[in-house]
Amino acid sequence: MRTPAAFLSGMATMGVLAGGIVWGTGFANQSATPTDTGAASNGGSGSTSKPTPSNPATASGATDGTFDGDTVQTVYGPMQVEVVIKGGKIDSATTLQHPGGDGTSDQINSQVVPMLNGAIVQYQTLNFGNISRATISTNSYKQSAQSALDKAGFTG
Amino acid sequence: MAQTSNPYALQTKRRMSARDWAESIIPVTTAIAVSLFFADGGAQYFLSLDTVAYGVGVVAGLIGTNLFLVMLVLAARVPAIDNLFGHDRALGLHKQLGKPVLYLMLAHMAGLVIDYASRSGLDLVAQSLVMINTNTDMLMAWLALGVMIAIVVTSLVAVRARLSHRVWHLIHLSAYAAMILGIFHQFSWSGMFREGTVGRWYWLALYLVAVGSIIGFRILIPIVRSTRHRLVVDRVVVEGPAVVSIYMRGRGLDRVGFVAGKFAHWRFLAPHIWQEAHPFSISAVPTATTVRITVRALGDSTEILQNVRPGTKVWFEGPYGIFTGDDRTTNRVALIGSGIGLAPIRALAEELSAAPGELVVIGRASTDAELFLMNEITEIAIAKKGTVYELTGKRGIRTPWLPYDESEQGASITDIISNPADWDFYLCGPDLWMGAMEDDLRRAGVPQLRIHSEKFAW
Repeated sequence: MRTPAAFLSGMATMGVLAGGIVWGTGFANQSATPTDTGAASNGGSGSTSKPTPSNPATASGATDGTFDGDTVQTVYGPMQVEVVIKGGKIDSATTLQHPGGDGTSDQINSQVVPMLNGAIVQYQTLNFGNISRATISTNSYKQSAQSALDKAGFTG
Repeated sequence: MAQTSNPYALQTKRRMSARDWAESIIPVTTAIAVSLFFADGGAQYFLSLDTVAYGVGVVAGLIGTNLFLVMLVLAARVPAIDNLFGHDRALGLHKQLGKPVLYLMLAHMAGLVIDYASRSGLDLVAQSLVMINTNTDMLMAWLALGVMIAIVVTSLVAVRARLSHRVWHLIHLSAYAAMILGIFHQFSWSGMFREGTVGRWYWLALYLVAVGSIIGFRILIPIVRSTRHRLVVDRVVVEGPAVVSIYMRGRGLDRVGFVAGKFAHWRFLAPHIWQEAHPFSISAVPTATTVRITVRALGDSTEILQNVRPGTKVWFEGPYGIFTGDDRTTNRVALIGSGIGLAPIRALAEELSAAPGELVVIGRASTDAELFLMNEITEIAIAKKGTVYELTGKRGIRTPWLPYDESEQGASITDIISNPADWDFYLCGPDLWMGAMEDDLRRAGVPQLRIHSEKFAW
């Protein structure tokens, strides 16, 4: 490759990488990083940030009540979310079933599940970014929660 | 000496530009792969020691897979790549990428196992076993890595020397198995390629392009061409000791792209030789119904070809190569062939246009009888008012491309062409001889762009 072309290619490569970094960190899809301490009693160390939604939605006509989502089978085990709607908004969420039993899943779910339960209430939508390294948990959670919201007629 | 205007200047500029663009595809696509990870929030993993192993592991996997797909495309005999760089240069890069890709895959595995183990508290071995047992996709990914290790180990020169070519080639082809085994976990385990992402489609598209190139250009096109052009051996003519010209007839041969300097892989459907296709250059400009190659007996198959029967069907893959007029940079051209290397030189002499005094042909061989096709070459060159040199004798020591006497008298290319930097050189012959020739040309100031060599397996 001739020198000017090599220079331009180098610039293009740097540009592509920089673009990705800017998009990933400057945008709404911030991801959380579960910490790796073994003992839960020590309290988490390290920073975790909550998931933020890409476009916070407003609540819309949904029936009040408690709705159980479908059970989503994952490679780690089943995930099932229950959603409570009050006043047309998501009031709370909890998991009826979540994967567990092996070291990794327990770790992930003891931190991730509470975060997801909180996020869905805070943002009133499932459009928040996945929690990294807990993709399977987050995806299955969203899938199950979506089915619960569908049953409630929640379209936010 | 004043330079006459160069009718090949524009062609040269365009080719250099096209090459630059093509070469940039490698770093840019690699950057896109890593950038997709960053766009999904991947950059943050590099901000903390706790998570850096994961980040490194993912990035290594992305770069490694991207380069792996590049390797496939390089081996696929894509016409655009062949026309710009030549088949052998593409394969050269393919070979160079093998070990780095393996190291990147090992780093990928190591990074992820270390990260998962640090979070689950298991030791590395136990963590690896947990991963392998989790689901089939991950088991297959580990198998894929094993296959890659086997391929690289068997390609190491020392090991390769002990394996027959066929065995080595079969092991090499299991790269496709590695690719298939490894693909599933990339889509089911990664966050960045989950459903609904742009990355998922992009990554899938890359695979389709790479695999499609191999299937299309390496398998389908040769089949279509062989069927359509129906080559058959017409007659065999002895050119010298253990050398014959094989004339083949077919149809539409002027539309396949067989220009002077190109070669093809020819598969003669005759007993004992149908199993492998062999590369030979065409030794004359083809007509619509005939094409000719000239073959020297240098091994079992080429021995058999000396007596191939008229009527034998021939399949071919090609034409390939950039040892052609398309790569020309200036109006003065020197064609230099040694032994059977004179075959493509003979075709080039016929096809390349040159004004009086702007064509030089040099034939080099140990003996007169080994200046194959020299009569034809001389006739053609003289008709174009070019100059022909026949250099016979055993190899020189000082200047190994020249015969002994000339070499020891201190001769070099400048004794034949006084201003070699203004000439295009087309060289074809054994590797060592070409190396010596290229050294002499470079010493004489000939730019690399003007040195065109055809390397084959001799």
